[in-house]
Amino acid sequence: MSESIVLITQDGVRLDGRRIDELRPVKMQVGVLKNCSGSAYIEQGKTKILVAVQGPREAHPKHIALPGRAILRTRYHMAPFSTDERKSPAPSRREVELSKVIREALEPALFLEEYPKTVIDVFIEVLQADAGTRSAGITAASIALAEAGIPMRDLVTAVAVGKVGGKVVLDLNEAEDEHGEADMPIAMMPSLNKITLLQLNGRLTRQELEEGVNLVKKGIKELYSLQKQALRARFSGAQVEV
Amino acid sequence: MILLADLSTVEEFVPIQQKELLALLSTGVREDGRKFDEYRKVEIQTSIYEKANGSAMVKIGNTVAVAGVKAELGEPFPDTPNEGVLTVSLELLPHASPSFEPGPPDENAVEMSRIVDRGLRESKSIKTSDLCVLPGKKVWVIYVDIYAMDHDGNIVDASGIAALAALLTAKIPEVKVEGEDVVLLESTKGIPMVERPVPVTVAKIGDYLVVDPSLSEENVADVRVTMTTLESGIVSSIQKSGSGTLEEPDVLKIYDLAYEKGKEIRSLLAKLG
Amino acid sequence: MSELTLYFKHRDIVTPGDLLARGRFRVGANVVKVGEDGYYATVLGSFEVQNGVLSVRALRGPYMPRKGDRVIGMVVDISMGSWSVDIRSPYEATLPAGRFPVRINPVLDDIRKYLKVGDYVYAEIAEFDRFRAPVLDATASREFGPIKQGVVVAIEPTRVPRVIGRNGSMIKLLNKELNANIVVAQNGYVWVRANDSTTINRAVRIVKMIEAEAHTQGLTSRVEEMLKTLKSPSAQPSVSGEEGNREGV
Repeated sequence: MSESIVLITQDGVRLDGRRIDELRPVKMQVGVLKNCSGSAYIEQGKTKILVAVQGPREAHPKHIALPGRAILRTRYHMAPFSTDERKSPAPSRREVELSKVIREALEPALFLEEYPKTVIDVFIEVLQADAGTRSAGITAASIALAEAGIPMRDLVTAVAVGKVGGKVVLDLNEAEDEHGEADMPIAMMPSLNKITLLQLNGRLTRQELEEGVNLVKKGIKELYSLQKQALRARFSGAQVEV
Repeated sequence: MILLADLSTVEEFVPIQQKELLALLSTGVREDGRKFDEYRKVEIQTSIYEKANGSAMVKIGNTVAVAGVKAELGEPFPDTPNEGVLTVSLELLPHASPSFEPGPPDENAVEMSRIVDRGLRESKSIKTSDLCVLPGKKVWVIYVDIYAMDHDGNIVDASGIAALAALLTAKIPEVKVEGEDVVLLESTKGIPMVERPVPVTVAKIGDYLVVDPSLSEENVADVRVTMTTLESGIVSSIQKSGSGTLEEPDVLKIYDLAYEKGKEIRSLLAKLG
Repeated sequence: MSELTLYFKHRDIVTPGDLLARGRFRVGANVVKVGEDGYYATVLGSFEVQNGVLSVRALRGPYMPRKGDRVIGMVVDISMGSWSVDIRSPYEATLPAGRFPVRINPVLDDIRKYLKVGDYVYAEIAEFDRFRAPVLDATASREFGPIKQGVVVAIEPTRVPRVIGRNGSMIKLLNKELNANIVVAQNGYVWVRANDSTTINRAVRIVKMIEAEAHTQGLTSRVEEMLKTLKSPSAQPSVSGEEGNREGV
């Protein structure tokens, strides 16, 4: 693969000036929508995502309801204007797969047994995509669920590590994702130290795999603390809209 | 509690409860007597469909997947004008399991298809630059179509191995380029592959990691991880599937299992014609 | 001897996954014990430690029906013998015709005469368990039945205890000082009746203020202040809505 772009210099400085273990600038806000149980908005670098949570509410049709717990439904969707080339609004296979893995990343954190026979819907809308959308979506969905008051074992926090210019780096942006050698999004419940999402595409050696898992923890720790800040801010500034 | 992976599952036999299975696993043995790091019997047959450029049928225990390779000359993608194209698709045939419904693929089918596709593609094992015939105009387009015929657990590995076997034994016509014309010759060559990516799926049941989960193990497992490794030890694709969680040390443990088993399967493939 | 360690103070804001304490405590609302001695918060809220009981008072959360709760709901559907009532909970409630304050024969009478879709009703939860949807009963009190006058306002169900106050102190204060009749339902609906719309509006404003500041200190004195201001001669009557207006906000 011929590279005309230098993605990372000898000193470990990336295209956007970051070091290998630096997150992009992140902004999180909880309670941005009025008509839902919980909501959140996240910006991570140029990626912008809005999440809405509805429920728990009665499962319809009744036959999908589970007697012992709530069902979590997740929809990951990219707005047609979120990418360089317009993306068709119809769900692509990628969106179907990501909706599933995101749901499976969030489920272990929720006490679904508290609301039998109901459904909790999480809608993740990518408004601007610059890589790391499933991870940022998970991070935002987690605080939206917390805002909705759905009991959780822990928040879920996610970010991708990858390999760019031969080095293992944290939080790829779009250029790095496109031209790099590997992309590995990981989600965790940080307090419990459990992994809830793990995917890789690209090529890593065993050692790089290990490096990546260690590096991701640093990014997750920082994001976790931002999530908590956003939630606390919501509590303090609790102007409940009607 | 039985993990309701397929809500419409109708089993001929009652799947073993997770608690009972865990009790069995604590004695170091699986429901079918296998060790934790043991595959079921893997059978690979190749070159079975004459009209395909390459084909294979893989059986892992009772799970059956069939793959066919068709090669056609076509246009390259605009951003890779001098490279061949690889298209991989996996379909779960409705008769393969009582829980599969005819109709558009559900999220499980879509996920499995994408896992197998990425396993092959991300490894970059196929030298797509060698598949270029007329730069910018004509390249070989390799279609790999995989069908899961019978589901007794671990469709992903059976499918990925079938695709790999079909690719390894495929024959595409040699070509002669005369100006702008491409002439297909009688003689054939193989598809240029640098490495052999093998997917290995490990299920986690309780705290136990078991390789090549059977159907009943899949139904009870909280989480499955598929890792595709190459002979060089590179891992090119990982997918965690299921609503369970992994501990950090599990990642390397699963890698090591996947790499070991990948080697074994590669040696089976080496015995093919 | 086991050590007791608290990692947060009473009234601290905590988030899901926060380790609250180690040792031996009793588990209250929204706290989960993990392992031998770890206690974690499961919701965003205010941490409370009282008499060895750890709990978290949630900022927000769905209303979970409880037998005996008095609730206000909106009729969303009608069948021959019962009304389906939305009580702002994950579970839709039913009010059977037989539990209506007036004797109805659903075979002879069209029950829509008594309550139609869109109407509000005040009742109590007679039955609810994990297997059946909540069943309402409107016969046990004279207050129960269709809501025909006043205003219905929605607040967060988690704020209901604050609006009611300890032993009803806050609500009694408001009713007395405003000369109003405010009823707070457990599911976060507040029913306000008064002789004039000015009073109704004042009452709604104060209720919304209590809701917004429920977690803060000194709320009671601020409410008393506000009540004094409203009663003073300089307080202008506000432009009001109509009597008998039913607003589900």
